[in-house]
Amino acid sequence: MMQTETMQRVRIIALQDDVEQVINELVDFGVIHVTRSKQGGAGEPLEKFDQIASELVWLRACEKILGGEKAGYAKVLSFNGLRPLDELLSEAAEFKKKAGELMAWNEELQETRGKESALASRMRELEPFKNLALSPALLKSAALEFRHLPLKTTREGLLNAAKGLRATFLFSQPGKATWVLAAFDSKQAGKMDAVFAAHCGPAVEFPKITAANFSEEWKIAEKGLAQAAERANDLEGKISGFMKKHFSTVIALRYGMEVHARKSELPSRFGKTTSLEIIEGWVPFRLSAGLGDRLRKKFSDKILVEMVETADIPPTKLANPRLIRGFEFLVKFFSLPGYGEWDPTILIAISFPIIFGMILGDIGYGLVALAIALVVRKKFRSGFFHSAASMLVFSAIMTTLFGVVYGEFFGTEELLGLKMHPFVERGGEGVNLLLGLALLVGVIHVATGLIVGVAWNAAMKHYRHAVAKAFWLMIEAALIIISASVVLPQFVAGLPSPMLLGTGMAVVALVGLYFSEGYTAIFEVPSMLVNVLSYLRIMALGLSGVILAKIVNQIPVGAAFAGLVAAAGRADAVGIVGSLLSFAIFAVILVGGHAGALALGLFESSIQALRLHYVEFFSKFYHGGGFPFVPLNEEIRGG
Amino acid sequence: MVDIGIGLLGIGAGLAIGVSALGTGMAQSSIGAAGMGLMAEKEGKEGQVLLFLAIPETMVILGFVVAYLILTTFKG
Repeated sequence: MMQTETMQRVRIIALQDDVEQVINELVDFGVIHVTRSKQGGAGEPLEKFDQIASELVWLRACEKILGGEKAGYAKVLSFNGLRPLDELLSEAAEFKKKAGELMAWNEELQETRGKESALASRMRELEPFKNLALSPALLKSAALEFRHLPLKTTREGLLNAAKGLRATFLFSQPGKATWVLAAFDSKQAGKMDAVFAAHCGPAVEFPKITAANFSEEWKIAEKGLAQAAERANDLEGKISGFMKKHFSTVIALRYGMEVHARKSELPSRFGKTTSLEIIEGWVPFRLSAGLGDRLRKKFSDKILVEMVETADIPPTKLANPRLIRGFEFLVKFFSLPGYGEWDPTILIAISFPIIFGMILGDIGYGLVALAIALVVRKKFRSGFFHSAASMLVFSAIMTTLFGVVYGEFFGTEELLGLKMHPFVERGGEGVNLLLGLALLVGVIHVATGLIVGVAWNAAMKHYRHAVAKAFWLMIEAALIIISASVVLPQFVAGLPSPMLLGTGMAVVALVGLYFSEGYTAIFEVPSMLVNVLSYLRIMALGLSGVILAKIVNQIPVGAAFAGLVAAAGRADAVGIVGSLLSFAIFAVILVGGHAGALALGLFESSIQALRLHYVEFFSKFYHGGGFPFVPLNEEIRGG
Repeated sequence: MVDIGIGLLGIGAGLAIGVSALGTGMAQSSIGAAGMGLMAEKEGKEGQVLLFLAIPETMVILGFVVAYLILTTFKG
């Protein structure tokens, strides 16, 4: 149940002439993880790869021009099997003819956008001069100097400051700022600089123009910009129309070409001699003989299929029953088991829902979570959401069951008007029992991790590690006996001198740990206590969840409803409207509050249950670090 | 009139959970920043980052338990 798939290394030696057919056969077979061959010379892609790659570049360029992915057109497509390459190439050639005008439009659009950008920049340069109907020829004089500056103060301020100097000013307001064109005697440039520094911003250079005057030049640029924008919009409309008509074709062609490209590129991983191709990979052991038979049947004596013994580390393929496969996600999220390591999915599938249910524990929340999980599971047939929903189904069932244990329904102790009697009350005196239960779960969970650690190390013939894990288990037992003899002596009353027994076990285990794991292990002993105490979060989070639900239940929906009934009885129209309004508002707040409490509960329960597995449980036996088995059919199809 | 002893128990319980929560927050801020850096550099490390981020949370849980024990055990 906890074993991962046993892998077999296979080597296939085929004629170069047959390589394409062999690839097709392997893709059809599917369940092979092709690795880079160390035999022979370096392999090369199939000859047709260059043609496919060049078509792909062109199709991707088309897709980028059309920009359909942004518009969501890719979502409406579905792919039904792989079409032959010749058919795709022929359709691509046909499409290229139609796409000639698309390319021309796109080229023109790029040019027009460039022109637009240049004209916009030119307009920004001309903006301060747009009201000046002056020819640049007038601004050339041996005795005079001209400057164009933005006014910082007031016109009067500038005129007063320049009084007595030989200078004249022309004010204009092209935008929000006022600009001043100043003409002054060149000999008074020094004095004028001081005036400008006090009243104006930095001067701008007079732009070079081709029109009769600045104002005319600005109008020409403005008109050019409007024309360019209109043309760009026109071209974008044409491209958009083309997209609506042909984008699905581009996507289908691109997808098909990509699959063929991946197939054609595969031989670059093969080894090569003058006439042979050497393919190496991993196949599940139970299917390896079938692959050999299949290839020999297809290629008779022109192919050699060898089962190879190797020291290379195989990829990991989990092999769990369909029912618990959703929990594989949690194991992969941490780290895939190394090859040969036991897969903890089955353990996590049992303990995760229990811990989750113990934290959230409410009949109402459990049933709502179950409904959500079933809907999501139906909507998503694979991927993250499918796995998450599968896990939530189990967790929600446990939440409902623990809701019965705690006697809680949306934070109340009533279900359909009937008072429930909790087995464990989450409040008052019941908290001590809950605290004890949380610690018991911790003890069992950590002990399970250690027992699995002993068993796996023994199975792998790592006897030293197996013995060390057994001593850790003894430490845990000793801690339980010592703690119980202090806190709950009645539980260990049957044991002879429990304190002495516990201390003796602890001493033996510490000596054993010293010899099996070294002195550093002794310093880690307190971590065992912390690991178990960490499970108290089950109680702590559960209590906070209940308190939150009880706070939400304080919302006076019942009182508002009673007010509504009373108002209806009095036939008081104003009272009915007021009561109805307050009832509706309180009902919305109540539902929203419970929805928020449920969302928080789902999130916290998942994260904390996961943490207890990753930190407290996995640290007792699990290493991970495996790399995934990637079946060729998935690799070629692109996931 | 509330007994001063009850007030001191309340302060003790508040300190137990408050200081442990502060410690957890400080530890998680450094781990979180480093974890984000790790995830940006290397894909597929989310599990380990979550694990390291979750480790200091035990402090606040223990703080909560201590606060609970102060309020229930000593209060009598």
